[in-house]
Amino acid sequence: MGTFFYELNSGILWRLYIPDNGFASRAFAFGGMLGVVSSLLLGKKELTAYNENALCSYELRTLPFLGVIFVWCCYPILILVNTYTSGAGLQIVAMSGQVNIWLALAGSAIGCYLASSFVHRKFCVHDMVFSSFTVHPPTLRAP
Amino acid sequence: MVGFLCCLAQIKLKAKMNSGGIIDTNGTTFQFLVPSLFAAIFSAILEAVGQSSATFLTASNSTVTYTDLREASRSAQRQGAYQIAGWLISAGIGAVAGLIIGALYAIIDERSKAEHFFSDLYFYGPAKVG
Repeated sequence: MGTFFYELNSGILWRLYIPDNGFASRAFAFGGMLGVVSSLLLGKKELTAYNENALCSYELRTLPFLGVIFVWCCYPILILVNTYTSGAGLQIVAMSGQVNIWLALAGSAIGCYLASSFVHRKFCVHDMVFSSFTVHPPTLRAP
Repeated sequence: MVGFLCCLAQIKLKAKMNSGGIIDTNGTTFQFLVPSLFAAIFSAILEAVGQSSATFLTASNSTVTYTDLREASRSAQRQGAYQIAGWLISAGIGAVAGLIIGALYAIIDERSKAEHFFSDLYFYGPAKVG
């Protein structure tokens, strides 16, 4: 059912001619809102508010952090691979676009690291996992 | 800057959001929703100032001109407004989908004890019989 609404939303954006090549709206805004609203309905406050299992153990945080590193490395490639193969002369756009996204992601990770260190006085893996990907390429253009 | 702000929000606001029951997990708000709004605003600004038809020189001295990524009959400012509208449409459809999916799942949701939540054994363990 989620994929049905995703495609519906994606089709509407295409029909309205709204460039969303970085999927900021059709993936992140859509998915984020879906998750928050469905969680509001399913939250069961009395059972989750003080649930000791809500937070993963300190040791287990390493695993999602490894995942974040993998995604960090692959994200620009996945976004621009279609641009790379979709026509003559687009390779330079795909390659420069990747570098730009990696630079933006590096800025995001550094900003997250600074904020986490500022508040906790040390680097918190939890913060890096859940707020280091705050760069969603707004408009990646092709010539 | 967005990374710094979202991380601060995640540290300061997430605990408050979840104090009355867990509603924000896996970065849905501060990794997906809020940054996408920043991206939409940034995109709207770029479109409104005409950056979607910019020309630049590559390191190998070849010129690349971006295709004008706005609908032919629209002005640059109007296309910028459409970028914000796109975010609102996506968030709106996401909210409707969340309501429907949440309501449907609430009907079949059998969790009734605290230990049923956040439990891999409950979600992925052997099928419950009877």
